[in-house]
Amino acid sequence: MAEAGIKLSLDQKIQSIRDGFEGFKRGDLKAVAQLFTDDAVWHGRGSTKFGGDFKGKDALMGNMAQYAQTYQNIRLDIHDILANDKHVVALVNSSVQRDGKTYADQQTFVFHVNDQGKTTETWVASDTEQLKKSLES
Amino acid sequence: MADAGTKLTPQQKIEMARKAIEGTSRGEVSLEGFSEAAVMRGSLMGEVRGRDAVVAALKKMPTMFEEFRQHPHAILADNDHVVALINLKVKSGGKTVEAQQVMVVHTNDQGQVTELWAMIEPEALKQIQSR
Repeated sequence: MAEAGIKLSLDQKIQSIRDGFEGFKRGDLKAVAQLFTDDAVWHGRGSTKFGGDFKGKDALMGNMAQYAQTYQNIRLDIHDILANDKHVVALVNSSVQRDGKTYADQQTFVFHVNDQGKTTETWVASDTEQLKKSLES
Repeated sequence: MADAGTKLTPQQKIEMARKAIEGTSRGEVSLEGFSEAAVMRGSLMGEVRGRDAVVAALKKMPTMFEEFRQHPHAILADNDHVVALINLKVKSGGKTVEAQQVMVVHTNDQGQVTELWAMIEPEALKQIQSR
């Protein structure tokens, strides 16, 4: 992690996001939480219970924990990550299971990462309605 | 457009994408911008295969609404992908829907689109489709 005030390179910002996905993959939500600022905001989409805005680290980590508890065999495989000064975008091949049914999708995560390598805001673009139709019907 | 065989830089791809997105809002879509086997998967148009069909679908898009504006908020690119974060404004039935749209594009070395994936946030898509 860079010192406070030090501007990270794009590669360092990308690594911070990769670390987050790796942390989630091994179930280490404490490590994931360390990558968000206290006032971070998570913008979920769609009408599933994971849709909507989750403001503050506690709220967004709670949402993430509930997601991990709701689905089984969650896979979030990073296909590519791109970055510029303001954004880091992760293209992710995902799949989840629930009650024996599997739903595979391509998701796009858009992050704002500050100069200390912490995420301040996240948007998730995915076909949540298809997810709901596939696994919750 | 770069010469055949020339590998475009990410910055060149970004500039091409910006012009293409702005052109699409006006119904101006260049056939040369797409490979022959181009595929588009989108929230509004479903899956469309083949250059002619993709270009026709993109040209049709603005005509489906009273207003259709795509404003690129940010465009990022690397060797494999171009990603555009777009502020979308659609007016239909006298009502305006503003939404965030994410467009992910695979391009070949000549900068032609080989695959285009466009996603609109689900709540806004429902509003647009209900008009």
